[in-house]
Amino acid sequence: MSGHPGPQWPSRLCALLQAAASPAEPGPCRRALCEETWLLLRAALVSGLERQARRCGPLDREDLEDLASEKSLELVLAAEEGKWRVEDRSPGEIAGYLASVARNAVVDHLRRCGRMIRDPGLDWAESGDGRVAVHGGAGPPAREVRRADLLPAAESPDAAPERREFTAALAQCLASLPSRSQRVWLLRVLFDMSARDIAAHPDVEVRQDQVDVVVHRARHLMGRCMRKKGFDAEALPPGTFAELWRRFRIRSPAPSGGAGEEHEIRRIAVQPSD
Amino acid sequence: MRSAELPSSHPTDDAILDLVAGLLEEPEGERLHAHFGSCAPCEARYRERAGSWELGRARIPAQWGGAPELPAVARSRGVSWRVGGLVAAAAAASLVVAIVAGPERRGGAAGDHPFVALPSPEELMVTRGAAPGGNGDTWREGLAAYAGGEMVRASELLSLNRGSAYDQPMRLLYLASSLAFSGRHAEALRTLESVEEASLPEPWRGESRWMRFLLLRSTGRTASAEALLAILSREEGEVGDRARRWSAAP
Repeated sequence: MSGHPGPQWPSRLCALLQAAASPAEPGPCRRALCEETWLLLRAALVSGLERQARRCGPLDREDLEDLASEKSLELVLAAEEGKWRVEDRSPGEIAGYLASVARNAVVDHLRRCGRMIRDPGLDWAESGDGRVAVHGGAGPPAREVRRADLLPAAESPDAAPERREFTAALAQCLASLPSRSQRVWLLRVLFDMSARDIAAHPDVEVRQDQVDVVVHRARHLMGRCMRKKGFDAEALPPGTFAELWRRFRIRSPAPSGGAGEEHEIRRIAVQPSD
Repeated sequence: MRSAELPSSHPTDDAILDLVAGLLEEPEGERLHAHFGSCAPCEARYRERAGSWELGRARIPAQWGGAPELPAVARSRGVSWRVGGLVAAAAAASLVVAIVAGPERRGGAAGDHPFVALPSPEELMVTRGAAPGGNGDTWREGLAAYAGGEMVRASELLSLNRGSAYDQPMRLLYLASSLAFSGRHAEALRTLESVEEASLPEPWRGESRWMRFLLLRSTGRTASAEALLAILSREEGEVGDRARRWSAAP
């Protein structure tokens, strides 16, 4: 996108990895540092794994997420133990290294599963002829989408105001729910997370066997609220997710554990490398 | 890392990752949100990335405080054994260690953990080559600490031991188990992976595989853990039964 200053995550990751490699006492700060490093590594690897899967073969969504978790943990531990030294590496070199980790992980996994497909033509960035390979969540055969299809269709003049009204109504209804129900509803409706993952989420204090009950009750209340306002809550028009997530993005509670307080996830202060 | 370079009006994968990770300045974030409002494919990419990020937060490895993944049946499972009667032989060329199992239920430590304490041998375990006061003492003391539930001390003693090659597989196995009980799962897994499984007699061999399954899960290697669980579920015996109950749990 024009005006974007260039990726920030490699620099942040570089600084985090260097901090993780420095000797420190275990404790909440150390744990938070390792968590943030792991999360960022994992997110970068998810992106890399998807790109490699387009080239090499279909990869189930769950396998992709597991591979990213596994590889990112190995890398964090290697950095902590000094086996992966990054102090002489630039952010770009680290990003390149992660790309190779992702490629090797996909190739190894697909070979184990016997699903290796070699077709460089499926990577549109290489073919340059406007074809894109897309894989569904359950690993169906790749389908091709013309690049032109990715361009936004022209909006009708009424669409933007309607979207704003819908989003405002949804936000009002969501704000009327208890915070616990808000979080569970968001994670289920926006991301289709399982009850197990929702219960394990650090910002959700609901037992696994309670999750579906909370979801059901929240859906019922949201539906009733939206129908009163003249909308259908189940169909989220384009643009709704981004706005909703910006307003209600789940934030970690304050380190002091104040009930009901929500703050930005505390950034671990690290010195970026030059 | 090469990004997916869509036409210039669309954000790159790197830009979306920066947004999800909270690394963008306000104006840049606003620009992206404005774009998402009118571009369903880009908003879908953002939604997928954000969902993956939140999934990561739900799956923080247990060693950093993430929730261990346990079905209720595994959580309620406890360990029942007791150490009694350690016997040491005074022979110069050999050291005999005996641990006798009993039916008494173990204290809170085992009951709070998903891990199962290693079985006590009903036969004598014989180690050779250590004189009294040498490395054989730390091996015996380490086992005694393990049996008494003092896992931190057990791991310290068992890691010190430089005993005979004959003892190594068992020593490493008990070391891995004590590390697991102490919450040092990554170390436990690395230790376990250095044990030659084929050199372990039953029932220790089966228990080592069960421990490996739990450690793979707790260190985030879920795919490998599930693959091992599938193998264990096809086996006979206590570990096979345990694996089948685990698989069947909701």
